[in-house]
Amino acid sequence: MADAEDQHDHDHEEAKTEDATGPINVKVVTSTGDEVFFKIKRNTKMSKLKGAYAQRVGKDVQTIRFLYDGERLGEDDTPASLEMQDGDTIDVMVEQVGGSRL
Amino acid sequence: MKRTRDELAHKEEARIQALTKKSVPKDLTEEEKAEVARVMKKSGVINECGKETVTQDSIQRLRGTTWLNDELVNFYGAMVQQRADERLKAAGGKPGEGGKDLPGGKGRALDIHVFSSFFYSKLTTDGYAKGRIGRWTKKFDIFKKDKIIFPMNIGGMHWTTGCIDFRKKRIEWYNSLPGSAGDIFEELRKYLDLEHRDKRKKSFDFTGWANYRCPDYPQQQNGSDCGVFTALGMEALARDADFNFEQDNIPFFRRLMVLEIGRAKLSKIPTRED
Repeated sequence: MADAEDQHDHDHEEAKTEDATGPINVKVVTSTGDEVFFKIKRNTKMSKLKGAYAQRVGKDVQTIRFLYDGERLGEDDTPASLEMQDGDTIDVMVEQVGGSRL
Repeated sequence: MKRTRDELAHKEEARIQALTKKSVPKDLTEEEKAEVARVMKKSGVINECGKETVTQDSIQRLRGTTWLNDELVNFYGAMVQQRADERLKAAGGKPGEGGKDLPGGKGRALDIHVFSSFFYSKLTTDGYAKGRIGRWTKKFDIFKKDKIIFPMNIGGMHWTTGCIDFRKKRIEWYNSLPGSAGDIFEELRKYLDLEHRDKRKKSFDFTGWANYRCPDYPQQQNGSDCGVFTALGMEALARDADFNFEQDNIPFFRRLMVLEIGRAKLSKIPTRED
C-alpha cells in the first residue's frame, strides 16, 4: 500500500481525528453494501485512492467510478478540495452501458 | 366564413413551414471531420466538463453502432448543464434562483439541474436513505428549479431519459423504444416526497401532478442507439424544445458528439436555434 494510504478495516471509529488538517477516515461503499475503509491525508489525490481500491478489490480502475455526494470525483480532487469530513462515504459505481432493451 | 377558412389555411401552412424549415445537417464540414479524427486519436483523458470525464476507451464507443457508456451520457449531461447555466446568466438569472423569461416572448432560460445516470441507479438499488441521496442536493434546492433532467440506465442495457418538470407539474419519462414504464413513475414520486420531507420537513403536495410519456418521442430502429437518443433528449428538454431528431440523423449525431466532447461544448446546429 502506498505511503499515504493506511488501510484499516475495523478500527475506523477509534481512529477518528479531531484535527482539521490531519488524515481522515473514508469509507468506500458499493451498491451491494461492501465496504472498505481507508485512512488518507487531506491532500491525497482521489486517483491514488481509486487505484488502491481497485487493486484491493481486484477491479479494472477504468470500469469503476467514485462518487462523493452524487458528484463524480476527478483525478485531482482531494479530501481538502472536496471539503470532506472524517467518516465520510464515497460511493463506488461500476461502468454502465446501454444500446437496447431485452 | 371563407376568409376565416383562408386565414386558417394560411396559418396552418405557416406552422408547417416553421416546423420543416430547420433540419438536422446531413454531415459535418470537412474541417469538423478532421477535428473528429484528431479527437479519436487522442490518448488518455479526452476532455473534462464539470465533474465529468471522457477517456479514450469511452470515446471509441461513438463509432458505428457501439453501445454508449455512462461516461459519454453523463458528459453530455454536464455540457447540457453548462449551456443552461450560461444561458440563464446571460438572461440576468442565477442558477438556483429560478429560470428567466426571455424578452420578446422568446421562451425562457430554464434553471435546470442534470443528475448523472447514477442518480436513478442509486435511488432504485439503495433507496433514498441508504443511498444518502439527500446529500446529492446539499448545494442547491431542486424545488426552486424549473426541471431536473437525468439519464437512466435500465437493466444494464438500455438508456432512457427522465425529467421532473416543476412548472408543468409533470414526471416525465422518454424511451426511444416501446416498453412498459414499470415502477419508474412510482420511484420518482417517492423520491420527490422523500426529498421534500428531507429539505422542507413535510410531505410533497402532488396536487395537479401527472405522469407523462411523450406520444411521439423519436424511436430508435435498431438495438444500439438508445444512448444517443438519451443524450439528445436531455439536450432538447433543457431548452423546452421539440425533439428534432430521428434514427436517420444518428450517424451524424454520433460524429457531432465526438466534436462536442472534444470541445466540451454543445454545438449550435439549425435545429437547436430557438
